[in-house]
Amino acid sequence: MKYTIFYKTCSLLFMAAFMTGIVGCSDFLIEEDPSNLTPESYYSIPDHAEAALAAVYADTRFIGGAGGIFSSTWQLVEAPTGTSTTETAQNSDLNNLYGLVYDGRTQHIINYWNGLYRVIANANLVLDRVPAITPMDANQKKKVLGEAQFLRAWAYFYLVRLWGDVPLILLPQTASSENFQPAPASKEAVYALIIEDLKDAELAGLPWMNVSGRTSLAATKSLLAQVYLTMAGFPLSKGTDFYKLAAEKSEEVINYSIGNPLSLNLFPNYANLRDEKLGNRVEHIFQIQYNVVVAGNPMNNMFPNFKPVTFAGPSGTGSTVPTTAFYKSYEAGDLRAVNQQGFFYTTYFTNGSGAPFDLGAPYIFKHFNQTALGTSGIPGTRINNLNVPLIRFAEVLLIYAEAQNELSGPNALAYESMKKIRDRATLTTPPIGQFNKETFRQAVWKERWHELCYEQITWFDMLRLRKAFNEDTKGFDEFVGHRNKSSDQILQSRHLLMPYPLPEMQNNPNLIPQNPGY
Amino acid sequence: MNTVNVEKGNFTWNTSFMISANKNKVLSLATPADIFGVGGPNFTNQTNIIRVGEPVGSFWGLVRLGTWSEAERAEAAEFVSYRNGLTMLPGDIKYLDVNGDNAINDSDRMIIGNGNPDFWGSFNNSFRYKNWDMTVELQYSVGNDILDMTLHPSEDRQALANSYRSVLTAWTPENQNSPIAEIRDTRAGYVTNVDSHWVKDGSFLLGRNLLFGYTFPDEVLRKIKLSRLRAYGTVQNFFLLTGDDVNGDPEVTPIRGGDGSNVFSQGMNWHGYPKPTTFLFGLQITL
Repeated sequence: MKYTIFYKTCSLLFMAAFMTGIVGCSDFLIEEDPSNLTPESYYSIPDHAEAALAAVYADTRFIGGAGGIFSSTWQLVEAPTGTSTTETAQNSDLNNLYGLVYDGRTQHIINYWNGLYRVIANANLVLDRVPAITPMDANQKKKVLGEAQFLRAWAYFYLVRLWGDVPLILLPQTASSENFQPAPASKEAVYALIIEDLKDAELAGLPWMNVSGRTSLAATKSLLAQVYLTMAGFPLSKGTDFYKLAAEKSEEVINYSIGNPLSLNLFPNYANLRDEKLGNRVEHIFQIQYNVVVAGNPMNNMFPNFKPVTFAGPSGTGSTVPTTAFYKSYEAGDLRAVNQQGFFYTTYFTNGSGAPFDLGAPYIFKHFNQTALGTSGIPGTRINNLNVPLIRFAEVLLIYAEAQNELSGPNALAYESMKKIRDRATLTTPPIGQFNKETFRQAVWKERWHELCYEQITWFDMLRLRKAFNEDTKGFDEFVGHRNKSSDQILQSRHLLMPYPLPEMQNNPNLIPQNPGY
Repeated sequence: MNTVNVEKGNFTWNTSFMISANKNKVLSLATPADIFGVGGPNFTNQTNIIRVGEPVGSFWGLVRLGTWSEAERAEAAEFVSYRNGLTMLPGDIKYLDVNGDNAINDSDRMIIGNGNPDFWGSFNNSFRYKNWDMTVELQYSVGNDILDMTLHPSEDRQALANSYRSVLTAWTPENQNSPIAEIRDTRAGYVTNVDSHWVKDGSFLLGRNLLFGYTFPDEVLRKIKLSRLRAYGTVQNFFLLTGDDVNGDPEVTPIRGGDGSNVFSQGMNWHGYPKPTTFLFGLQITL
């Protein structure tokens, strides 16, 4: 018996060896590995297109990533404005941003660059692979591609404003790609791509508004208006033609609001802006999406330094807090500066919902989610799903007001657009006749500073205008030579651009020359 | 190296001595940029660097010269400050400004130490006298640096967290020659950086194991009908000699150290739990 088993096993093994010997070199061994996803094999059904696009949206959350201890990546474009400061100096990279002595090793600069190029890389994958997916509904495909183009343009718009000339990567990259170490493309070329992408997105059949948080026609047109307004100013200085384009594009959005005021409008009060249930609605044209299941709201560094304003007790970092000077620069009676009514708070409830206490200084209330963190007598849910606003209707109104004024001085719609912003702040606005082109221009700029503060927009206004708001004179200084109240440091011409991240320059010998002054 | 020092009658003494010296150098990287964030916790700043031409396990940081004194008030004020319009003040930590731009930033960082020892090994002795035996195992390491990141919470956050006793010697107008910043309010803007003050000489001598044994003589064994009986006691980690400024165990590897204990995080102390001293008593019985 034992012998039989031994004999049979041996013969089976022999046969197996013989058979594999014969067929070993044929196609038989080319395996399909359906569980191993690669860019080559993945994109085959419409769901894959949607999943690939979702990855691009997810990558926009890089702004909330950590920038070292007590700091977030978004502080790169908040700290240099001079409108905010820090109550802690524990993060030396953040100190260097406030002190205007950042360089190519500053972690926030490295993270911001990497974050944007990751968005671009994943958008490029969508744009490269999705067209070949068949069968797929043509309208769905058009939308997916349009959204990817919107997101790619969104990322390049940050890159070109922060760094100027940057590598223009339009195809998925691998280590064997011909253009794996790209030289910087000119600003003009980058802007040309941004406009092309956004124009395509405009025609992609996107809905005007999209409460799901995906991009929309209103978002595309608003971003295009931002791009045109930026191109009209520094560094391209394209002037009148682009102010006209910015005015036209923002007017399209305003006209939609006039026809559909329930869908797109200003919120009646500021509390709506930080109400997590009103995300992607009405005033919020485009936001970065947050849900604690994936990622919670990333604005906690705006909490005071170790003062118990939330359920978590005394735990905040205070690494982005308003300068007193900026807080005091609001006009008397401006609702935006009234405790807990607008964008600031000077008292709060102990541990979020207990006895009120004085904070001793103004802090940023704009991103304070009372549902999650607590409010008078009502403990927070501890689930902070508040989105981060990127484009608000308030900004679109101000884009129109600014751009139209540059063309012909303030017309009725420009005046009305700015007045709406001031009306909500319970401020009176002089009649239109009392403004000329110059005074209206400055009035709109001032509204931008006061309305859009702490939303990572102000720095880009400073770059395109080459101006900085002077909290004492309430006027505007030249960018170069302005003294930031946050650190008592002076803006210099090198600050008009960020340095290329040093690791990128070490890895890519073609990423030269470094921006001036670094 | 093993030696038999004495072997006569009822006394023997054996010694084994081991010495190792490892040198390493990074020859090339797939992408030439320095690699940060591998091994160390990279908490307050990047803690360690992998750079072509340098050994792995290199610490990366600023050089702390001390603190600014009253006499240097004007000089300190020329440095770029980060805090709300306040200048750098006497009592603030004074760093080496490598490029002389009156700003302390990432350009002023450099390799400030390495966790690898120059040489290390063990020195073991075993003795036997009549029925008594004793083993002494010693372990040593020379030239290994420690990056003591516990100094971040325990010296650089005085009003925020519990501190080491060393903050009692912090800067005061009367005690200006101190490496530790003046004790101030939480919101006064304490800086904290991976810096040379955190780098200590981690050379040590560790009593790894001490063993005493007694083997009972045959006449006793016969009475209790056993073929062998030995009683022993050991103490593991029975002493540790380090420099006075070394906190805790010089061999710990950091929490949040990526892969934990590896060549890239050697010598980084980040609230590691020290080795326990273990007492063991036992009987060896052969029926």
